[in-house]
Amino acid sequence: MAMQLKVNRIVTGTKIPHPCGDPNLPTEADRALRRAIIQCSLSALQREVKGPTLFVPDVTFTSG
Amino acid sequence: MKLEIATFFVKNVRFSNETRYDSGVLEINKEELVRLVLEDKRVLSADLDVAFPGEKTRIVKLRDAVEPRVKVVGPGCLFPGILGPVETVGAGKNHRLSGVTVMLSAEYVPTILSGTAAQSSGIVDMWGSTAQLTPFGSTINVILMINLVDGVTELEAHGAMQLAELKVAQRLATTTIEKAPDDIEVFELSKTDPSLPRIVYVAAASITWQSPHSGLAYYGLPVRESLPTLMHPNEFLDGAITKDVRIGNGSRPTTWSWMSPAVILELLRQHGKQLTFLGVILQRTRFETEFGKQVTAACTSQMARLLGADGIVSTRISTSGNNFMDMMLTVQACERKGIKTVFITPEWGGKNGDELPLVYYVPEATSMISTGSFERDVMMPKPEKVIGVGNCQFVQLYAGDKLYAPASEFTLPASFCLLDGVDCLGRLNLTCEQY
Repeated sequence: MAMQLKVNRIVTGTKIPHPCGDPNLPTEADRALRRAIIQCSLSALQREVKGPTLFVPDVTFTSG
Repeated sequence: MKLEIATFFVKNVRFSNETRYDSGVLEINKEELVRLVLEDKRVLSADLDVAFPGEKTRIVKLRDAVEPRVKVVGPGCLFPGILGPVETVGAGKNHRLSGVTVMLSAEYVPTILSGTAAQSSGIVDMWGSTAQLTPFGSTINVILMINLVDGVTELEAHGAMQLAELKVAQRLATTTIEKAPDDIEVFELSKTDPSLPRIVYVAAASITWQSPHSGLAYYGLPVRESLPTLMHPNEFLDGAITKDVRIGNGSRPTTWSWMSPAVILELLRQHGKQLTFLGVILQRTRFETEFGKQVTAACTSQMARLLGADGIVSTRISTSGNNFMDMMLTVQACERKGIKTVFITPEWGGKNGDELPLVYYVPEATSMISTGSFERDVMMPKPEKVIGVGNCQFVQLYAGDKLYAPASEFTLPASFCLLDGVDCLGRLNLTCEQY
């Protein structure tokens, strides 16, 4: 949807109710996930893009 | 599986000393039905009224509507899992009263006071242009008004209200037992000419997983983290799919709509003539991760391919954009597997129709049918009579919304304020012309 709205830099988040973390994970794992998503976002800001570009954090999204 | 449906047309309904049906006239003994409803100790009080098409009557605090239907030859019963034990339905013989509904106008003390899991209600007008926006402006409606006792949980409230509604509807249908019907229709997925196109119906079920009831139930079991489920179309006609009756909002089809599903009835009638109807996939939607959306799309399209489908017809329920994305991805997944798709859906479009009609699209969605925008204002004229449970001076349609005075003229912000006011299942026949 963000691609269709022509957003320049898009970072894949976790889930609609909690895009930047996962309350189902143990605290430490949630913290690592949140950190990975934010770091991915910060590095996305430093990249030159031509049109909508998707950035995928190096995490697994299969927890639900 | 062969299901015979015997139809009895109802031309008039009146209260009388006896509950009976004769030559198109349904007579109702109000005391008898009130007694039946009060057998459930969770119901504090009950009453009945009737509304006729064309009358300047407004019905409020509506939760659901249902068609009076009863199974006269089994297996099972109508509404398996709710009115009787779970047994695979879709065969045997049913009697139905046509042109009449039982509507539920109900009140209880809610414990969920905000958010999408909170209770809501809908309105129906019996005259004018607003009567055309729901299926119930053209049916005679028997309104069951009930109040529940204090201290029931949200799930108990759903259960008590649903049981009252379904019991009353079934009792009315039993008046036709041993009588000769006006019409008999037989529904069966018989062997067909192999050259006919093979069609699957994908009925998407947007669910509210965080709610006490998920919004939609299969044989009485709320659908939650389910993957697509394969169903025989006749099961729908036997009430195998029901809804959370706490939610009267028009974006959720009523039980009436699920037991008379427009697409299923038409596909059944064309089976062996224009097409071969392979079955129905009930697809749980509104996954909250991109990952979940891809899984449900992959699974549904794979199921359709394994069934040997040449094409699918799909619908969705609720106005949720989240659930809309799941359906678009399903269209894409089917087309990529070589299965043609037609997607029937209501649209957004804003107050004046100049905003985006769809929140998301895929290039593969080349064949779609719009059932109209649900975002337009609805002008509600002043009625002569208001029917509803309790004090109807003011009504609130959903948690946090402002109050409306039903006896006056007012404007509703969207058609989902009317019971079944969003045409999710392709039921209504209002059309427009481009010029």
